[in-house]
Parts: sequence; structure tokens; C-alpha cells
Amino acid sequence: MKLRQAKGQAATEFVVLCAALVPLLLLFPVVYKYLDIMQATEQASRYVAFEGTVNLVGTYSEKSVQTLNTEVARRVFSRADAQVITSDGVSDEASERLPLWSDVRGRPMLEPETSIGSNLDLLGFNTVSRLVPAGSYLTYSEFGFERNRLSVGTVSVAPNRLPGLSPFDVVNPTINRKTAILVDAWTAAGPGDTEMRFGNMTWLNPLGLARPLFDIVGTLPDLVSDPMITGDGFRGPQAWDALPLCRYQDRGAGNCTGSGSSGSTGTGSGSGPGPEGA
Amino acid sequence: MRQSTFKARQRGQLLPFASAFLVLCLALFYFAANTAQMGIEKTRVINAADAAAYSAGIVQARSLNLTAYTNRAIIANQVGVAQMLTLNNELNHLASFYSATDASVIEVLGEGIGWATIPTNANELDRYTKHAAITAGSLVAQFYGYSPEMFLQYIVPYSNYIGSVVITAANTASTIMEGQMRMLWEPGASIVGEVALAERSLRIAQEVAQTMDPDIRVEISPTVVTSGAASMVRRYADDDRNRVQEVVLGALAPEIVNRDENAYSQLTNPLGINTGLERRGRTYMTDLDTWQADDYQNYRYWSPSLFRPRRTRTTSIEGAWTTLGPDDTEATYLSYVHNETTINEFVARYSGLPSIYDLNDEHDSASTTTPFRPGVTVVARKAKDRTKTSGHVASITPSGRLDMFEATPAQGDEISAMARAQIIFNRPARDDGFVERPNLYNPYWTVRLATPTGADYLYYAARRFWN
Repeated sequence: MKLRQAKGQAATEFVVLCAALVPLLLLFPVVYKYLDIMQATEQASRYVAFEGTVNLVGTYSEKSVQTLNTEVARRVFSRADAQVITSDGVSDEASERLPLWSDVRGRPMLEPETSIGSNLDLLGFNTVSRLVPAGSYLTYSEFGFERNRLSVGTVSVAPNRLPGLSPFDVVNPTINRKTAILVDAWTAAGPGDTEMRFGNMTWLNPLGLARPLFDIVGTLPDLVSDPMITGDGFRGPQAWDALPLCRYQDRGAGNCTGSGSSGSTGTGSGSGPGPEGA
Repeated sequence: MRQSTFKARQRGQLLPFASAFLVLCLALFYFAANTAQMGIEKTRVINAADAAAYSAGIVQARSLNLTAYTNRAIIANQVGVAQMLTLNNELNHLASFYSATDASVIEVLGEGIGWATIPTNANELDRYTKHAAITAGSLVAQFYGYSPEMFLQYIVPYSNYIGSVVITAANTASTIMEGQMRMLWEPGASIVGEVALAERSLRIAQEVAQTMDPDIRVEISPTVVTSGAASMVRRYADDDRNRVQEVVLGALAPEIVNRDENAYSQLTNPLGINTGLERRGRTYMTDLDTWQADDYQNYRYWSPSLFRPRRTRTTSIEGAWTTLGPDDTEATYLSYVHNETTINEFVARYSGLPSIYDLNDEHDSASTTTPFRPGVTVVARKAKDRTKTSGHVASITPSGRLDMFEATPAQGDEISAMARAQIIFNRPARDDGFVERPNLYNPYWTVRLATPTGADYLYYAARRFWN
């Protein structure tokens, strides 16, 4: 009698267990795939933000959104052994796609062209005082440095829906990550850059006041003026990267302090010319 | 009976095992997911530490570059002072020359230098061309009723006025920039530059980290006081300004520093007249507070023949050179002019070369084989109870049953990471082929991530212990 009552109980319990375990076992890999994509998105945002340290937004070296997307898709969201080359594109998606990021039917969770969006923005600062002390604001503004240089790399990833796997067949999760970094140390590109910044100064570059005089004297033909006066020597410093000799690696010796270190970059202080000394 | 007992023992057997297995699976799921999420959070904190350190380093590098730009601007202004002094002395000198040398003499010299000479090399050709142009220009101007004096009587006062204005303004601008650099590196008696710069770096680092994740806090390692940018900078004033003088003179065009020029005719004209224009010019500093410009000029002729120019002066001029150029004891001096201007005579107040900020003695040595690497180290930390399964900031847009991912924050201590940004001097190749040591004259300071120092690790360990 008892046996008859227990008949089929194990099968029932097995069915009940499967009802709980099968979705759970199906859910495990999906959740971990999402976590894996989150981790990759975190790294991708870092990649985009640090791109801003070498390819400044608003400069000639700025990378287009399309280029960033392609690079991120290939270098972060592809197989680890995918080749990384300059100006690459996603040439062969099937072979470079990470095989784990696919649903149970083998369809990819990410489409490089549509699922991944990267952007590199500049976030402006409200006040300059956070960058430079108030005391040096005048020189800061006179040199015309760019203040909006907080580079924010944002990456958004929208995995495909997973048909037949509730609730991922309905929801459309989007993973956003961003990394911010202050870029642009105001490093000069060369002596010309230094000259240009000084030339653009207004209040702290009085040589601009002399330009009309230089123009009058300089544009005169060599009629009444001494040609030497009209030379380029009056247009500003001739050597924009002149240094004390001790600051060259293979010239001079010792340090820059003290009278013995002064190099002979010019006539130096002392006596001027005279008929007897000429 | 045995069969009955066996079957009885089997009743309900699967359920306890199944329940235990289910709990085990759920626990496994929970811990695995949480571990993965903590890994993501840790990655974020590491990224925040790197970004904050790099950003703090940028603040330090900007301070150095701003100083270099300012030093260069100060030098440019001082070059401007020298240029204006030179220009005014030259113009006054030119006026003196025309006053001392009448038009007829110029005409004679024109014949002698401009048209009757054969240059023997490119330099001579250049000199002859210039002076022929002066003479020819003067003749043309006189033909139309103008004289050099007419031009000069207008341009010299104008130049004097502009010169005084420019020099005064350049002096003022240099003083302002000098003061601004003092506020940058020595903000106040109670606030040393190291602390002020570290505080600005910290502010930026915090802003960067919180842009990424509002729950991340950053702090700067106190090693910044001894290894930050401010620790290697000092002010050079008084006699130490000789380095400023050296750079200013090096930046000046050579024709400002030394404007000697001679022009001699050759014995090729029928009259056999030799003419010579000899000049000397210097702009220099008599000391660190005084500029001076000197210009001298001889005009003379001599001839071995019996023919003489129609209009000449026959007396020597006091002060004129007699030892320059060809040995011509029979030369006749047509004019000799000397003008000199001292800066303090030209403008009411010139305060001398300004002081500047440059690398201090410790980092200034040319013999340094292991270059000092300034930097700033940042520690980023996030309390574990602020971590969330979704990563807190990420919008995974959960809905319905997916809300479970937002439900359970981890408990406990904190996750943290440390990163260091190094400030390096990275000068592109110079045109002259020389290699620069780090300096505060050229703005080539930049930042890179680097390994924290031993002192940073000690601080990090101590900080975790205190925490």
C-alpha cells in the first residue's frame, strides 16, 4: 500500500528539481557572459580615455568616432589572439569574434558594428582655479591654454537579445562605462609653438606695441635708413630655445649657479666696443 | 521483506539531496557572480587610480610648463628691451651721422663705393650693395626735395617715444610675470609651494575619480612633498640672475649683440679714390641691471693719386679710428660719430633683469647620471559596501526579475589601488643637434605612469594598517 503511494514520487521530485535547476544552469553562463562583457567594457573605456592623452580631441590627431569604434571592437571585444594593426578594421568577424559571447544557438551576443559605441569627449571645467592658482591666472590666460581637457572615454555596449531565454529575450540591457582623465600638459610641440604663444599674448607682450615702428622702419626701402636696422633682428628673440650652456648635455660643465658656469652665448656683461678696443 | 525495506528507504530520497544541491548551486552562483563583480570593481578602482595619478601628474607638469613659458616670455621681453634700446641708439646714431656728413660727401662716397668698386666675394658684395643703396637712396631723396634729416626728424622722436613705452611695458610685464611665478611656487608664508601644488593635484584627482565613480575616494601620497615638481624648483634672484642674462644674450639676434660692419672701395675707379665706411656697434649689459647700446662710425677716404675729390674735409676728427682697415696714414676723415645710450638714461625706471624660477641646485647639476624623476602617487579606494553587483554606476537597465542584480551590496572593508605618475622632460630633437638636460626654459614636461616608489609602498601599507 505504501509502495503504491510512493510510486512516481522520485520522478516527481526530479521534475520539480529540474524546473529549478535547468533555468539556473542555463542562467549561469549567460550571467557570466554579461559580467565578462562588463569587464571588457571597463577596459574599453580606459582604452578610449587614454587615447585622449596622445590623440587630443580638437587637434589634427583626433581620432574619429568610427576609428575608435573599430579599434575598441577589435582590440577589446575580439579574440585575445586577434591581430592589432594600425588603421585596422573588423575584417573577418567570424574568425575574430570571441566564441564564448554567443547564445545557446551559437549566434553572437555582440555585433561590432551596432552593439558597441565609443566616444571621447572633453568635459569642461567651470573654474580655472582648480588648474592653476589664482595668482598665475593672468599668465595662464595670456598663453591661451586649453582648459577643457578632461578627456572622458565612454563605451556603451548593447548585447543582442537572447531569444528563448527569458528574461533576456525581452530586456535590452545596455552596459555603460566611462573613464575620465586630465590630458594635455601644455607641452610645446617645438620652439615655434613657444614663439606663437608669446606672439599671441596681448598684455604681457609689449613688443606688439613696437610693431608699427618696426613696420615703418622695416618697409622703407634702403633709402635713408641703415639696412641693418631693418633686419629681422628686431622682430623678437632669434633663438627661441636658447639655454644656459650648462643645460646642454654635451656643452659646459658643472651646474648653472655661480659665475664660472656662464657660457659665452653672447658678449656677456662688461665693456662695450670702443675705437681702442675694436 | 528485504525488497519492502529497500523500497521504503527510497521514499523521499531525492528531495533532500536535490534541496542541498540547489542551495549549493545558488551559493556557487552567488559567490561566483560576486567574485566576478568584485573583479570588475577592482578594475575600476585601478583604472581610477591610474587616471587620477595621471591627472595629478598633469597638474604638476602644467606648473612646470607654465613656468617655462613664463621664463621664455620674460626672456623675450628682455630681448625686446635690448632691441628697443638698440633701435633707438641706431636711429639717433643715423641722425648724428647725417648731421656730421653733408650731402656732398655722401655723393662722393656714392661714386667711390657704390659705382666704382668691384666686390671680390659675396660678403663684400653684400656690404657694397647696402652702402650703395644708402647713397643712391639719399641721392634720389634729395632729387625729389627730401633729405634724410627730414625723415629722421620725425622718426627719431617717434622711435624714442615708442621705445620708452615698450621698455617700460616690458619691464612691467616681466615684473608681473615674476610675481605670478612667486605666487605659483611660494604662495604664502604659511603655505609652501609643495603643499599648494599637492592640494591642486589632489583636487583634480578627486574630480577625475568621481567623474568615473562617485563612490571612489582618492588621496595623494605625502611623498609628493619631497618628490613632486615643487620640490625641485627654486627662485634665482640677485646675482643668480646671471643665468637669465646668459639666455637673453643667447636669444638676441647676433646683429644686435655685435653689429660691426666695414665697407671699403677698391682701386678701380679712374680717380683712384679709396673710401671706407667703418662701424662698430654693441648692445650689452654692464651689470645685471643695466643695458647699454654703443654705436661708432667712421667715414673716410684716401687716395694715392694726385686727384682729389672736389669737396672734402682735410682735418682729422677727434676720436675717429685710425687703426682700422687698410693702413692709410694719409686718409681724410669725413665724419666720425659715436652714440651711446644707457637704459637708465632712456627710461625713467628699469628694474633690471627679473628673477626666475628654475631647477634647484640639487637637480641642476650637469654631472647628474641618474636624473631625478619627480612624480605624484595616488591611492584610490572604494568601500566594499558601496560596491554593487551592477557596478553601481553602470546602467544595465534592469527590469522585472533582473532587479536582483541591484539588490546585494558586498559587505566589509574596502578595495584600493595605488598608481604613480612620473613627470619627465621630453624634448624633441633640436635643430642644432644638441641634447637638453631638463630645464625650466623650454616647456617640454610631460607625464607617464610609472612604478610607485618604496616610500609610497610604505605609506600604502601603513595606511591600510591604520584603516
